[in-house]
Amino acid sequence: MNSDNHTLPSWVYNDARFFELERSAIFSASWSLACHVSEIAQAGDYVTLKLSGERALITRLEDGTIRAFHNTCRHRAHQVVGAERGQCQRVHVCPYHGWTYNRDGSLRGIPGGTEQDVAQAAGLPPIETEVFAGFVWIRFQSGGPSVAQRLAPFKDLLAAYRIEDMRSNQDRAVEEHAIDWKNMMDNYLEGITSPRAIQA
Amino acid sequence: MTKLEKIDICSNPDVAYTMPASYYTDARIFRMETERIFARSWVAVFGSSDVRAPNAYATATVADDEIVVVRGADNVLRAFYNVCPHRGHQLLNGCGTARNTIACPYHAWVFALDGKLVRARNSENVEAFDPSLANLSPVRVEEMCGLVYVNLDPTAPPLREAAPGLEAAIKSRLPNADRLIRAKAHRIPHTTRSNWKAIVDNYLECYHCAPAHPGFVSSVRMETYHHDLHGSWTVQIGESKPSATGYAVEAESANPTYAGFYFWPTVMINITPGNVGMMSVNTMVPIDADTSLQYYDFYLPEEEPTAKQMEIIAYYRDVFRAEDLSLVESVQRGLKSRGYRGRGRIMVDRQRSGISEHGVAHFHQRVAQVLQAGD
Repeated sequence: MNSDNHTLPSWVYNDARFFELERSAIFSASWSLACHVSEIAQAGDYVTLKLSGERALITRLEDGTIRAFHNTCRHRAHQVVGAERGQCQRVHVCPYHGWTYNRDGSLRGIPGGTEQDVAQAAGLPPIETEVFAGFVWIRFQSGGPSVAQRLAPFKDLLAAYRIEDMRSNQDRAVEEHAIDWKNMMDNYLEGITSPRAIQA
Repeated sequence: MTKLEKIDICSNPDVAYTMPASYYTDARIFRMETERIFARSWVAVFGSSDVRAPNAYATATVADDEIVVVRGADNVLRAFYNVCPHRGHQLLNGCGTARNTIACPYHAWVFALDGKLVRARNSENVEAFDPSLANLSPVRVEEMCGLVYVNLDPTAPPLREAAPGLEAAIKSRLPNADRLIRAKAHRIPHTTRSNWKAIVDNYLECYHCAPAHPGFVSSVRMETYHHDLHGSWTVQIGESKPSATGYAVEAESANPTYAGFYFWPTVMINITPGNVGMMSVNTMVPIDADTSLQYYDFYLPEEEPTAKQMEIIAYYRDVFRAEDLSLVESVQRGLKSRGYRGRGRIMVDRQRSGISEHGVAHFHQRVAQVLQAGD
């Protein structure tokens, strides 16, 4: 390549190993938007999502704080919460062997186990969260600037929209397309697309 | 072959943790398993009924290799690598009835059903052609309790020595096992996005039965459920009871217990309670660390199921299987998560009760022994 203003080489849009690298170096280490604060307005409200090979449970505790956990049972690695969203009445029950977890991710009970077993076992591992501009953000791998630091240049611009006062209509459209994520981003990051292509 | 770091895996089942999550996800571990486990064990491939008649043949994949099993006109069952010694082309495809010879579709070399070369075209004009070097490569094959097993290791002990007592234990519950017929129309194949060991783990404990299989638990007296370990094979036994959500068993049944046999490495045999004389068999073809092809088959006295047998087939197909498949796929995703600490507690209890996970510890110990052995 003799010029630095070309696109990335095409193979990086089509390579499984490169995608694995992106998962660990980019998606896991970056902040991802998990939900809007209004989606988990009440204590016990939760949403779950799958992202870069991980499963996250995002919830609000009794004291109003927002926490996120790995949605994977400590026993045999099954997904603990299956629903996309809901209200945890008392505990989360893993559907595989019935281990239970409190709203705050701590282990509540082990079927066939003693209280000592429960005391010795760990709860769901926490995931780093940050609330900024009305959104809950999560990051699987810590390190680097916060969301607030990252978006500081746009703070005033974003504040004008009062996103934190908005309400989610909980009607998320999910579409799957057979395109690499960078292809999508390339398209979003330029405004020179022909008007004809947009009409079509 | 790489040697694994020696760590203690399940030497004491009472305080055991699973093998590390990487054992379920690492392609290098899978290659070791292919060489050390699948290529050296007796692997169940299909039913005796698939190759019962003279000239009947069937093909299978074992340890990433293609195998053909064929019964000669002399009624002897033989197995060969399904590979022409000339240029390596596949000889037979699928299953069916062979002619009295096997002709390679590539250059039309012809072999007898005992593997001997019959004719290599134009060999009479080829200098120093040695027909004794052009026979098919044999593979060990044996039958037991209605299943055909092959073993790629020519030095392996015979099948019955590898599974002492298994045949008698199956036949005490299913005397007609040798004569059963695989109901081809009712096979349930599934490409499962899970490591083969997560599927075995799931089979080897009934700790998950109450939360995950409510219908099964309602049809078994769990207080009678127990899991006996016999080295290369294990059996889980539970007395059945009438149930609305499982399937009904006649009260006066001569065989009122459910029995589930696991035989290392990849076969699981379920003998249903009641006088139905059938078994369901799961044979697994591990594809890679993340993928396993599972064949779930029903073996019946006649190829066409009776109404009662059909009820059981439908229960397994629509309820029990579906429950297990989603479990093991979820586990495989979780084993790759940063949120799983790498080794989970194996819930073995002191009394080895119906929900104790000592079968899992037993299996993990065996896997670790094979993988950690120096070569």
